[in-house]
Amino acid sequence: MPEEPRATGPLRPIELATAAVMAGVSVALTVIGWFLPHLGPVAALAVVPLGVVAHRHRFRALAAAAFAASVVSFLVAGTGTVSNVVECAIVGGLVGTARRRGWPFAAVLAATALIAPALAAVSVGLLAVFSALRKLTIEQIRNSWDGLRKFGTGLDSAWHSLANLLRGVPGLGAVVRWIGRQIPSPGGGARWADHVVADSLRDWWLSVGLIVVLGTVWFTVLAWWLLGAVLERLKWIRIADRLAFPPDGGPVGPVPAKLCGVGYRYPGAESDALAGVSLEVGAGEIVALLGDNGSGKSTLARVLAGRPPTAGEVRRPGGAGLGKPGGTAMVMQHPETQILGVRVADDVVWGLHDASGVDVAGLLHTVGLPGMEDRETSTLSGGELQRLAVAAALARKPRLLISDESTAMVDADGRERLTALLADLPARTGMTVVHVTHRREEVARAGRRFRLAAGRLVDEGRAGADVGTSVHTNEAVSPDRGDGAGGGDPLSPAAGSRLELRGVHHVYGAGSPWSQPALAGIDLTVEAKEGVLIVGGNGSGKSTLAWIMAGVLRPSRGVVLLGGSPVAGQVGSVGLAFQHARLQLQRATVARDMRAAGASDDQAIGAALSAVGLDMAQIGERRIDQLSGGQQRRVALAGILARRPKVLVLDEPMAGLDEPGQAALVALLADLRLCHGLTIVVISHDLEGMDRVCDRVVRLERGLVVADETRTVASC
Amino acid sequence: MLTAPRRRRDGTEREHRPARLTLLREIKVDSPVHQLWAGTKLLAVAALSITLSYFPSWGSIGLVVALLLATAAMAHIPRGAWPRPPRWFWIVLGISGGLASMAGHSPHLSVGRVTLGFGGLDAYCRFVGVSVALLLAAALVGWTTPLGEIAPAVSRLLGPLRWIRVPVDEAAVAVALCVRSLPLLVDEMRTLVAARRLRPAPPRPGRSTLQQLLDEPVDLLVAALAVSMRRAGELAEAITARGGTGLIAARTRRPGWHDALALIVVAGACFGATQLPGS
Repeated sequence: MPEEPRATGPLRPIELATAAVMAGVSVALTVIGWFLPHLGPVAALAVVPLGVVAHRHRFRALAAAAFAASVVSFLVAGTGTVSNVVECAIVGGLVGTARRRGWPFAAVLAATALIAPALAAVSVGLLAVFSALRKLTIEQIRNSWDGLRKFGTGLDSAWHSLANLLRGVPGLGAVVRWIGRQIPSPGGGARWADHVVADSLRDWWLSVGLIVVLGTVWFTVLAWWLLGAVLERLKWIRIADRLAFPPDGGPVGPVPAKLCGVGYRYPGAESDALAGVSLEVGAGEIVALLGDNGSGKSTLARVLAGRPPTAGEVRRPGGAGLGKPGGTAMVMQHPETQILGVRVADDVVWGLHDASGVDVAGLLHTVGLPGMEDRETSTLSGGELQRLAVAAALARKPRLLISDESTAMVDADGRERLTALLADLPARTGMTVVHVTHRREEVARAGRRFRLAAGRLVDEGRAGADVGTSVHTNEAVSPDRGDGAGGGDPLSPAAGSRLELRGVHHVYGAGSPWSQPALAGIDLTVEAKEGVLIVGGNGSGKSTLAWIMAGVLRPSRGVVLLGGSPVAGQVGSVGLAFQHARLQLQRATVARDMRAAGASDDQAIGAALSAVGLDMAQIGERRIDQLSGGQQRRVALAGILARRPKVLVLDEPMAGLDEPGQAALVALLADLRLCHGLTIVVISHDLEGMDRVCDRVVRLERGLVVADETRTVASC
Repeated sequence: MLTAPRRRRDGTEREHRPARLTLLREIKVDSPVHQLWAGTKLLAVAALSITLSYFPSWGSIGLVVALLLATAAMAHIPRGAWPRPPRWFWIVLGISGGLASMAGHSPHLSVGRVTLGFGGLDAYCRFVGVSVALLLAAALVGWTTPLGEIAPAVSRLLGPLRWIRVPVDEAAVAVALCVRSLPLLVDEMRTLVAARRLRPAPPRPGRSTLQQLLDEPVDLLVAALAVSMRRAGELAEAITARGGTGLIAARTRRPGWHDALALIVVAGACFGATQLPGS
């Protein structure tokens, strides 16, 4: 059960963000149900995200979510969708709050007994006011009913004429009489229905009121059940704003900072995330902080940004002043989620109280985005978004800039520009830069380097030597051949896996003002058991190509053949691993997900899991959201393998993985290809790292193949 | 089996264009409509919606649609922007229209010995007309307004509510963040659906309880919500890292004289709609 939220005051960032994002989900569900009538019931699911807001946060957050969802859905599709959003907010709010406070179902029903008549009164009142539209709608329903009845009567008389005719034919009499008996007579039932329709249309206020009351009660029951099922599964997700620490008050002065024996242990954790860290960060210097996932480097970054440590102390001239002018600024890992403005210029000033002293154009020039003020941020590449985040940080003229893994999700070119930008800042502006990363090649220009391992600071010179051998204890892979099943290899693909693309073009939104060319004529053949690396920068069309190869996106022109027949008719034969593994895991537990993914029995599940270095006995019954990001990727991959694809396509498999994680993934893919004979296509923005898996490199630029070369690769 | 791609008369292969409905996406051209303040457009849509709901007559529908088409022409909306509905849409429209017109009712039209009642068809067309006009109005706002201007406009429109201590700024920030997260969300939903298609179809139990029926939608919803909640956490950290909320836009457009003019035109149209015969 979530803790009782804070009762008063303005919304905290986590409440606002949850309200806004969940409002977006409810708008999406409502609009899908609205425009795709065969998916109409989906609109009712909008009750769930709004219920989640009420379950996790206070009423004020729900009100903000309901308001945002109403405004945005009004913009998308007008007033009709707004009423759905409002109803979902009322019912979801009631049920979510009840679930949070542990009210019994009876209490919810009692509350509904008050709410439902009120909603009915509002509906009847609105219909009374808009009398012309009401009359038109009633007339419309009556006409449809009359039409349906006349259609029925017409069919009936047509049958009678036909029957009379056929009865004359010798031998058919019995057949006709038999069919006649099978046709329901319209008599009594139709007359009764006629009365019901006529009466309910005449006393519309009564029938509308009744429908709203019964509908609301039924909807509440449904919402109770739905939210119960969803919340039970979401409770494994702990979302916290890890930067929300008590304000340190007083004057702002983040550097020089001196950390003495700093330790940090997260509440409820069994071991320290940081222990005995002592270091100094001076004014105007560049400090690099290296470490693998889980080494505590991000925790250390947060301590520098002002989180009070649980052991030791941090000495600075004033407070860290996170986000304050002259204080500390942070650039974080995920490009899309740290950009808050809709347009580039909006994002630079987002959150400031007075933008009059901010030279937006100058800042954008500094970070290499000149003249982009009016671009929508959703059209920027990952590297551009990260540089925009730096511009937003600079708008606050910070004295300390912390880059927490800001380069992890960016392509090679973007990484280079971003690190160069960060390295130039101290000389240009006198600020201190702390760059946290797992890539050693990025720290060349750093004045001082530190390396963290298991929460402790290790001497950089010595730690450098054992990078290659450092083992990731919780995610170590021992590529099992999966041949325990006896007989043949359970993972070996069926024959006929030659993948052919002929003249593939793709344009998104073809023929509309938003049309955007992605592929401009791709001819590519991937032979069976081949390993192909497709590289290209942002906008090269490589992700589009992955979707088309898997048959989940129909190209504007051209054909994709797998084993000689169109891949669109055999979706699933080409497995596609998306960058976002969580979206690929669609069931509650690992074992159930594997079954839904196509594993026939426990043995198949075990074989697929062991192929990705996971143990069925250990992980089979785990909830998806209890897994780490790395484990989720592996399970998603196992799910794809369970369906025994002929070809495996991976979209950016290395993004966000640290060195040991990348090494383990490469070993796994090499094993799958060389020992299990799987055809593998890797889509990546980086050339490096895949030598052991792919012996052919195809370079994509602006939707065209510009280079295609083969190199040798070690065999199994 | 290889299916031959459909070909045009000149022998070239025809481009596959899926059904499409693009909403809430600006068409970047310069026009008097694009220059209007976003709040003006929101007010205009609201006024036209209310008018049509009060007076759904042929005259008012015609007047409103004419106004909207004139606006679209002024905004240089190209033909390609209009939605391309899938085929079943027209089929459903035809069947329901056919049923409604079979009801007959006056006015009657006699051709020789056959008398046809057009009352049903008349009501049906007005009913569809109102829906199309309202959707068109909403679409026009999306096509001519940068997304970033919506939240500031909402904030200004609700300004007076500050006097009764409604947290208007908070609401505007929620709208801004919601608009910001929509493109990410759409991408996510596309991926979710594609990932679902890549898996084998779930077995359909012959007789299923409601719970079994809802099993898969709940699973998919949980996947989408899990990703959304993580995103909310990251957004929250980004807000905190910037020291909390404040401005949501760099430059906010203020309403000017052409906004007043536009509102006068809309008000005139609304008044005109009430005065037309049949209202």
